[in-house]
Amino acid sequence: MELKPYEIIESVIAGARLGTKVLDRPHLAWLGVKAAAPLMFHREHRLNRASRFGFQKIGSSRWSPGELAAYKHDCIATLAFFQRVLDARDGREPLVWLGWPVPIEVASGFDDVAAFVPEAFMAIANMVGTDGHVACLEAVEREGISDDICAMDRISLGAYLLEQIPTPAAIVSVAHPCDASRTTSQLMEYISGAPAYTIDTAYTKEDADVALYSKNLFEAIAFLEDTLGRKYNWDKFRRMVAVLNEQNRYLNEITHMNQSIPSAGLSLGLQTAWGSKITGAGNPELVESARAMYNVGRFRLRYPQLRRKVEKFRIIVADMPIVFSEMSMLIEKTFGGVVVGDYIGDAIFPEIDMTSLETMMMGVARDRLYMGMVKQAHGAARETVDDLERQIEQFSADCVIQNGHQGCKHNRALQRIVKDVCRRHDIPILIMEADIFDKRVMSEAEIKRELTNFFVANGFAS
Amino acid sequence: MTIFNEIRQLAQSTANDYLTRARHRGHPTVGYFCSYVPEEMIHAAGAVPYRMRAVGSEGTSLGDTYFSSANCSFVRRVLDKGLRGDFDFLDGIVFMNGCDHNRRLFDNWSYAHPDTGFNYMLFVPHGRSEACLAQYGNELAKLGRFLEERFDTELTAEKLWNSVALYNRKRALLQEIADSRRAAVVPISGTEFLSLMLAVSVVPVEDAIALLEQVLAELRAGRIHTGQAVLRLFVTGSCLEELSHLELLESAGAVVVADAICLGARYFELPVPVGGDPLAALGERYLRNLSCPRMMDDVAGRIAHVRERVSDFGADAVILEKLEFCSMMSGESYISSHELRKFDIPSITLTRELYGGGVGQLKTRIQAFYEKVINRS
Repeated sequence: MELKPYEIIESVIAGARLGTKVLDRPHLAWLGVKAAAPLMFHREHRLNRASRFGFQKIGSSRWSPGELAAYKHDCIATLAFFQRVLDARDGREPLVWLGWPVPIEVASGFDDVAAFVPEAFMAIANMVGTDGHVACLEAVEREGISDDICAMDRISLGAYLLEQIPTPAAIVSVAHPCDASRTTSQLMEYISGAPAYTIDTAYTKEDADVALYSKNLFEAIAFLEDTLGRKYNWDKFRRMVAVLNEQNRYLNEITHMNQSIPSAGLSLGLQTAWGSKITGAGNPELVESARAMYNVGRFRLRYPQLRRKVEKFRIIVADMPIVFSEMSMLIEKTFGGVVVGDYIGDAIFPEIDMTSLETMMMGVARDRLYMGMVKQAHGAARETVDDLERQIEQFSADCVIQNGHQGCKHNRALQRIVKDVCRRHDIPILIMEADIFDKRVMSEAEIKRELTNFFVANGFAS
Repeated sequence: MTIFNEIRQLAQSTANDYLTRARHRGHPTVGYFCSYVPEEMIHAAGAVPYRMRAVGSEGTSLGDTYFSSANCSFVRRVLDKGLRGDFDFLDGIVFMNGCDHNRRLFDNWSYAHPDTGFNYMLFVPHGRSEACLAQYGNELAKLGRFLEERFDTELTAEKLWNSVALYNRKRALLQEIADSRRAAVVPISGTEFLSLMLAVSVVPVEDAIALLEQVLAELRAGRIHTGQAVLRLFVTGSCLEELSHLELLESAGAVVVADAICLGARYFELPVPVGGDPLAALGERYLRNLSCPRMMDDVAGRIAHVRERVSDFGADAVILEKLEFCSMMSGESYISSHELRKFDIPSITLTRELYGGGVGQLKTRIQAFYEKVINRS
């Protein structure tokens, strides 16, 4: 696939603009999505290549008008974020790259600096069809960089090599959450030649470790002030943290709603919130999105009989979900299995103490340590294993699926321990050999086959 | 038995008589991983530090029941050996978050629980800033308290400085031996030097010093390496402990004259600065020594080191060694090869499994690379 410069970001902007307009009338949009479903649902082909990802992002025709209304606010936040990146490309303001676990507030607290997260391409490259991911990966392969590095990181690199991302004025990278992100940060710094500051991160969630992380965040802001010659707006930071606190309160509630039987069925929405937080934490639109999603959840808990029809069994995805093609709605529609929890859609965040800038920065640091993927990947195995045990118990899971993401070396190294956890809880586990971003490793059709065999073999489907 | 034969034997064994004798004298053995674990602290606690390795590994079948096929062969082999009881002579192990595979080795080891005593995880920052140095200092203090409790001893400044003096002496001897390879006719091959490194990292430091002094005496007496070498090589990269691999490199017509590997320059370059607080001195040395790709803010320093050594030792080419599934070396080898090309230094990245097969294929690549380098002149 040949990509024109900035084609992916421009597609995202076009999609977000469309979403903002269409989702303003959620019931009408709901009808439209239902009508389009036969063309979109089962597989990607010539006619739906450019739009299927968008269809999947809004629930693959399984979402209610309420969920669509919530997503409109994510579209507005997405549009603002990517439009600013293109404006920066055109020289309107400097662009700062942030490694994805770096709190976006570090850069978005400046009034006149555009923030960008190169890893966003792991999620958005599909806007031109699933070959978008492959195009970025192939660019890296042509460059001679080994595929030992996680595909998510290689997609970011490839996007830069293919002129999908503007060159940064500065980079803030982070020693989180894995070797692949560490080495890719070094590669991005080398290839772009931009000045960089590296944040070392906490290995536990203990106060002393979080304090170090927080100290690094202050230093990163000072680095950006020096490098860019601009002043950080601390009042804006305070406002963003207040917004984050409010968003988190809703996300915590929604996560608890997913634990009830039947579940509120909002894990896909929480996954969206995870992605939106990376690029837009502190944006009031995300509070609106979370609030609307929360209202959907309340309605569903009030009328559980509606969800009982949908939910036949409950699944924990002990991994990142497959990104190149959304699977949870397919599982729900085909088998009646509801993904109630996963690596990133389990959003339990501590309240941030607003007393002072120091407590707020500590809170932001801790917030990102509780974000999915960081939460499980840093430190010792208990961060992952205890989390899985807790999820199995709290979410009353009937089975566990691990996609077996190829790039996730630390997670792959825990498969015996994870299997034993499931054995102790007497629930079956499926460990696949997929790559969540690279369909060439295991295609959508193969994944569906594995899932079908697993559900049939364990009596969840016939 | 000549000193080089003894060293070769030590290099190829998991346990050895030196450790047994030390145990009889009341010194337990503590394994450790990676170059960021200060041996001095283990020594000052009265134990013998033992660098973990997969030497003598016969496979990965037991290790594979814990790790996946996407994990590196070093951790799979070491765990396999642990589960077979090869390390039962250990009284404990200090692990370190060198990489994701190693980090999970601690988890799997703790879970599988072979009979190797305690398991301790030392978290080392990924940067060299003042904040990172302070954090590393805290981690060393924690390790110190753990060792004190475990071995019912006190890590006094006097004990630590005594250990520092011994390890600095060991480093100085290794440095002198390594420097002897600057000569046009080298006295010791890369394979022999790796043997030496493997040997002296699994015996008490006092014995290591005695062995190194004997080696140095032989070199001073005019020993020369008799292999037919057309090319002089610099080797860098991730974990490398297979003598057979260096033999393969050298038997094709080269000699390794310098390196930047964990069982090499990363171990002995830069002594611990003497004076002040011993833990602070250890922190300074270990965190700011010649770094490995896990350290995120020192790529330029690592490249500069390679260039400087290539020039000092008259190396003709650089071998970038990478274990399969080592993400960090994937990025590093890309940057290194591009930077070295700018300075007209030929390099090749060799990807391999630890004690893996594919020797024929590897040999063909090596020979073709040598030919290319020779034909440049």
